[in-house]
Amino acid sequence: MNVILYYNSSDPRVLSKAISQVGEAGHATQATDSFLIENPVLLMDYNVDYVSANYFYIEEFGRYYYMTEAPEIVNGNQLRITGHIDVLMSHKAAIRNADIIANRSASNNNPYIPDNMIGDQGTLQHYIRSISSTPFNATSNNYVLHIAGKN
Amino acid sequence: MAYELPYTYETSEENPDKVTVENFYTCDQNESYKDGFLIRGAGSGLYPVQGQYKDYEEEAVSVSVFEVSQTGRYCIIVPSREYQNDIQCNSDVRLNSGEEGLLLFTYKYNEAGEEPRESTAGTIPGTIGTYDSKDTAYAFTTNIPVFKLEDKQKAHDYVYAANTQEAVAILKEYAINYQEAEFDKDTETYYIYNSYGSASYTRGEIGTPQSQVSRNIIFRANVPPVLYFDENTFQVYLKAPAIVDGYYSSNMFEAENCPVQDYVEGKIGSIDYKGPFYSNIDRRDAAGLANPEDGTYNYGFTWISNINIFGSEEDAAEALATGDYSKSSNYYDIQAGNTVSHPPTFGQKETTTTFGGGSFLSPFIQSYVMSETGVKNIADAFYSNDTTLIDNIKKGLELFGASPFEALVGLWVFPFDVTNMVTTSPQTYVYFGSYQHTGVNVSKVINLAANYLNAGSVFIAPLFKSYRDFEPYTSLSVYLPFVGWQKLDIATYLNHTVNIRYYVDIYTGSGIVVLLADGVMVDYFTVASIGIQLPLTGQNMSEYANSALNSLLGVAGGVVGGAASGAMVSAGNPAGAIIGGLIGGAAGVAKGAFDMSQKAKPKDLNRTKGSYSGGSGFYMPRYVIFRYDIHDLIVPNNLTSIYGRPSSYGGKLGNLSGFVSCDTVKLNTNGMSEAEINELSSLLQSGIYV
Repeated sequence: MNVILYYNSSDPRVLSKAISQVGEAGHATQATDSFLIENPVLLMDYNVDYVSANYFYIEEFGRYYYMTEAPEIVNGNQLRITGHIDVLMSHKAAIRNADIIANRSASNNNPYIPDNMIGDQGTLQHYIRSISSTPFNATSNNYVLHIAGKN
Repeated sequence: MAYELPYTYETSEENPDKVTVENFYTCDQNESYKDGFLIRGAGSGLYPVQGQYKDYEEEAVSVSVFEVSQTGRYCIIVPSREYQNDIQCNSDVRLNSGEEGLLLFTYKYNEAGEEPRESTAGTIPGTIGTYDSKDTAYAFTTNIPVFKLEDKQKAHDYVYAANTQEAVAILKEYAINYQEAEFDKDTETYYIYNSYGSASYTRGEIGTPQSQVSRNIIFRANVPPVLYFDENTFQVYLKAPAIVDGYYSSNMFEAENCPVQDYVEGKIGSIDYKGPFYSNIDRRDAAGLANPEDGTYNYGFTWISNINIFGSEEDAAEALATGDYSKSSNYYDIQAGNTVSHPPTFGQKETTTTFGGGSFLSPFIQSYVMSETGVKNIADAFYSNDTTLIDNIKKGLELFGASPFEALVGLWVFPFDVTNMVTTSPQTYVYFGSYQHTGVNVSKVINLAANYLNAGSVFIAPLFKSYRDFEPYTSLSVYLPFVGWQKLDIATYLNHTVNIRYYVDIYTGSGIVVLLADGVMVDYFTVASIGIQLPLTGQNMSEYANSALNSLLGVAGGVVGGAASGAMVSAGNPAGAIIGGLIGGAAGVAKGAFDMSQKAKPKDLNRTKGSYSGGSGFYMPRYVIFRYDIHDLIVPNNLTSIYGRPSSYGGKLGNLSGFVSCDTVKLNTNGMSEAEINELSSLLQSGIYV
């Protein structure tokens, strides 16, 4: 198998990882009798540059993988790497094209939905808006006398 | 030189700097900006446009950051905690739709003892008064967008937006003083999108609309389209007079107003047609006669379902291309299910509340409005050594008993000009029975048809334009004179102009205060007593005090007997009935011989229980006060970037950026194993960074 080794500096939740290539092993083989495509274990010729890798791509599978543990030097001249699939990076095209209903988003949010991540500080602010004009300040024509009398 | 937020300007403790945001004003083609100022600065040699001021005093004043931008845009950022009532976010402040609110401002500065000099560092042009160590006024010549501190990243995005469209989009959502401009109905052009298009027909030809359909034709009208409901024909119509492009040569009228068109199921002449609108094909003139002349005419469309209406051709074209109609002005109405089908099932929306016509005068009682001098005139006549008045009253009022004071039914004093409340006629005399007492200036009440006291209007503005504007995060209360503090449902009042009206019954002093939102009554409160009934006699005094005490004790509105009655006891007969009144009152106590049971009874006064009684309301503020009570919330600065904000977005995930978590996902899982699908589903629900 052709395996490209990378150094990944992105958070695992990032869809499109920031990866820098550290090497390419063109003749990697499986290190165990069988493995699931999601959790490969591979052997490759040792190369000191590969030791810094924490991420790899298997061309035949078309998938990206995290190294679940540091590369292990075995048999004196080989490197064994164990990985777990990065489903985000491996299927990012399909993910970008997915139809979703988001409940939280950094770029498209609805300010009228309460946010349970925001806590109450426990204090109240009072803001006043008064209407300065009032009809209740008359000093004339403000008495009414009711009298029993003719019209 | 670009600045990154936040930018801190070093100040000294010896000379603390203070910037206060005091007022906003609009400069919509008026000169008012020259009379006001926006920012008061302090400290010498300071560049407000470059710095951030901190207030070292305990009293909360605003902290503002101005950001200088190479794009020519500026803004003010204020902390939410400093968002005080003097930062008006109301209809008086506006950034016109499409504008970016560029701030024009120049200032001078001087070191102590020096002459003012022009600033040279990328300033915001405007005018400024003398810049000295304290209370310097900066005058701005146009509106400036204001952002809350929690939206400072958006403020930054605004000033550095790549284009006007992007900048305005940020303004609309985050600038707290942004308001859509009103369309000028006489000159603005509206665009009506109609996917069925139209075709030009010459006279005499009847075509098949389907064959002429062009999906990209947009009708233009130079008056706003009006959707209205005709109760007689149960039709919903969209009036779009003076169509200029793509006229439909059917039922065109020269009259300005389009007539109602009858709906005929799927028929145009002899052609079957099904579409969102229908119109007769005959061309007629204003008299309803066939008119063969070509030209541009007004005519109406009849829609059988809702049509999205856009304010710009660009938005309409974009909707055509994307199928996303959310930019139409009636989009949310349609989504909410306000679809009108034929026949329609909804009614008219209330736009104005019509009030009752007022109360009724008694022909047995005359009511005179007067000032204090008039009252004293009559009182002096009663107590004069010259008993002419008393003697003449006795002659004409024997049926009232021995005391001429019985002719005085009641004396009220109100805090308002009563002639503004009722209809009066000026004269210089009053009648006691049949006796005319002259030499007194009064206004006789001739009609109780309702006027009302206007206690003012205020626009209830959203403070946050978010969920924080609503309960339980923000509460709204109002202090109403003679009522007290009342809690209001903030959702009812938000974004409405609230008008407060008082309707007062001058016979009982009670009243109703009505709150209207944009002309529609939404709340009302009864008022115990706006007026004070003043005692006329000693007997009257005890009854007055009783009533006041009972009202305070919470037993007003009814006759109280026995030990529960007030402390004062009236001696002698109670006075006659209270007549008239907005609120129906109990009949007066019949006159009769003095007895022990009636001795304990206070006069049955027609009052509604309220907050104040007697004259106590006169001591309280006599103007309306609205109060927002706002919970302070803790908003982590990195919340949006780390965890996003609540969203109702539906669409392609690839259209989003940053953090996103999903309620539900529809994904093409072709080629994925079940384990991959499960892991992916879990990640999308917990959140990823796109």
